[in-house]
Amino acid sequence: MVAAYPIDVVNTDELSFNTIIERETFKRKIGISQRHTSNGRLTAKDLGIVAFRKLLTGLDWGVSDIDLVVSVTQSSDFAVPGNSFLYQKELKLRESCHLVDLNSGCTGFVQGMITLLSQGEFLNIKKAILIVGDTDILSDETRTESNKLIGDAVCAIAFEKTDVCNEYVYKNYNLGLEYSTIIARSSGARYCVNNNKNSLSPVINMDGSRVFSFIAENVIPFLKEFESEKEDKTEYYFIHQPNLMFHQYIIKKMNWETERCPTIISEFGNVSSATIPLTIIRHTKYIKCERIISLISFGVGLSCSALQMSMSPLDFVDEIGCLC
Amino acid sequence: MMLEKLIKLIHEEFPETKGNYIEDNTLIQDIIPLTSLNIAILLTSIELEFDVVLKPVSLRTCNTINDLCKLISIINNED
Repeated sequence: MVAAYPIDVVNTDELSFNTIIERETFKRKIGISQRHTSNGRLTAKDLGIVAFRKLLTGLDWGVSDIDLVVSVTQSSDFAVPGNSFLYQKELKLRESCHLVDLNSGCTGFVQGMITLLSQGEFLNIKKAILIVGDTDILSDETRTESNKLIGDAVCAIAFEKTDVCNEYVYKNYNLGLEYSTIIARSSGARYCVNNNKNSLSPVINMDGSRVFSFIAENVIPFLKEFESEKEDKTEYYFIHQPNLMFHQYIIKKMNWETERCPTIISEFGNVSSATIPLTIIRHTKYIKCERIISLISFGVGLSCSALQMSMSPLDFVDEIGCLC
Repeated sequence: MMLEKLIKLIHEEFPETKGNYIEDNTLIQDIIPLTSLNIAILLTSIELEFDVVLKPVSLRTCNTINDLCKLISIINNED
């Protein structure tokens, strides 16, 4: 597992707020001290290439070994084609390599894993790579609060088929009724029906208060069901962290121990679908032996996914700070 | 009782209000600017304290602390 993120950092103290109180409230409740950002100079694919290469080197895998690549991002280089084809071109992956693109945000890591595991099973795949993450290029700069949340990071995760049968418990929940809560409203064909194509914009808007309503009214009941359906006790929860306040809210409502729910929000901000793998990378000390972990993600859609699985110590873990 | 709990919650969540004397007819906007962040803080802390999920739009209809208290009470009783 490898994480790549811009080496440049924006400290929350350097950001402009209307008042000192506003700044202190932001730091205390949102919990972000700094974020890694390329300031719009790198895309998710740029970071993904770095992570992908480092992962192959670290595991001593050749590009010809890769049977499947699943790319998850909502900030792909182009609306069409997806990033997986760009990875194939730049890394010279086999032409018979299976390529899958998922357009997803914060729920994307678990969705990507499930896609990879099910495709891997169906196609009898030996080695596969999952690449997840975004850069902040598409956030709405006019909405100053949400613009201070998002950091840039992409993670590449390698999967290899073994003889050991790993059982897992998976549950998902989707609420398309609330699709407009996180939306790039001026993008896509729907916008073109009534507007000038020249005004197309991929900028993403998020309604934070509605996200909270989703967490309180939908995610928490969903997680309670998930908890009641699985037999094994989770040792560590790796949860998507939109901000510290929502993270602590979930832990409190679920009666989970804080020590079992590690975070990276202070140093990285909300890093979309890269949040969970980056948290695992930063807390590999928890996985020195086989552990039962749960991965909890939620976000755009609106959607929520939970996966409980056993995890062995990782063969290779690294982080790379990229020059912008 | 609920009013006292709500005032205590506001003082805890917004330490800058500790110097203010808050009573039932205090205007919310006078003590807490209703930015997106502050609304999210209020929604989260009210849910944790009173087990009530308020809609942002409902919260914005409350002018005074007493209005907010009544709203929480109504939703509590509906449940």
